[in-house]
Amino acid sequence: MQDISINLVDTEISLLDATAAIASKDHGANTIFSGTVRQHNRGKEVIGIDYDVYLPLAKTLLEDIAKKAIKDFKHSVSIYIYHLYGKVKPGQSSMIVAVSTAHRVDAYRINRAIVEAIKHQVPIWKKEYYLDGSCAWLEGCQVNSNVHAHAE
Amino acid sequence: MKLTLKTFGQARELFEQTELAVNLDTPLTARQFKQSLFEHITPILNRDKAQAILSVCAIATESEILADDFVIDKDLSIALLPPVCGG
Repeated sequence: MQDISINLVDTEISLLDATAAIASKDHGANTIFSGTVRQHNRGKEVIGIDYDVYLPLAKTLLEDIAKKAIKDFKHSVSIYIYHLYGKVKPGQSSMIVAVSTAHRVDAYRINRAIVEAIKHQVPIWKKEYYLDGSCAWLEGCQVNSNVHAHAE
Repeated sequence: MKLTLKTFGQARELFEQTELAVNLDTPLTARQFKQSLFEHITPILNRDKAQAILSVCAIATESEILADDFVIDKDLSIALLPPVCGG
């Protein structure tokens, strides 16, 4: 069984939902990565991040990334990827990647491959807002047409 | 040919719009399309900074990132993607 659940949402995302989504009696390893907005960055106090996203392409690339991450994996695996867009406050989770497999080595490897690929390839951008009234787009990774390389 | 440009992230500030029509002679490559955008940039911006942002942007449709030599020869909605930073 290879179960993949992907969504981009503008509401809160839940670790409990992620845990439930990947639960399987055949899977002894459950890895959950939660990306959380930090309260301090660039020496400034952060009051929030506004996530911009190109939704149709982001959804397609997330699906491609998940499939590439398990391309040569012949065993049962569950993958749950959720990413927020819109305004997110410090302490809130902006992204959850949850992976369950029979054994931990595979769960860790697949989860990390997905997280790294998301950061390098998916059209999502952050505008950070600071307590002093300023704001800034955060630097990112330049994308190109070979966007699947990182997931492999 | 009707080309619609969608802007995101920092690149949106180059045009001060989320979407704009771009009239160009076709066919042209994705690289040529990106180079042509420079004349559409809002004039209040620092031109060197604008050029620096444009130079690191990718061109995409709703379903794929386009290679520089991709030939645009029909009506398309094209997205201008600055460097990404999800997570």
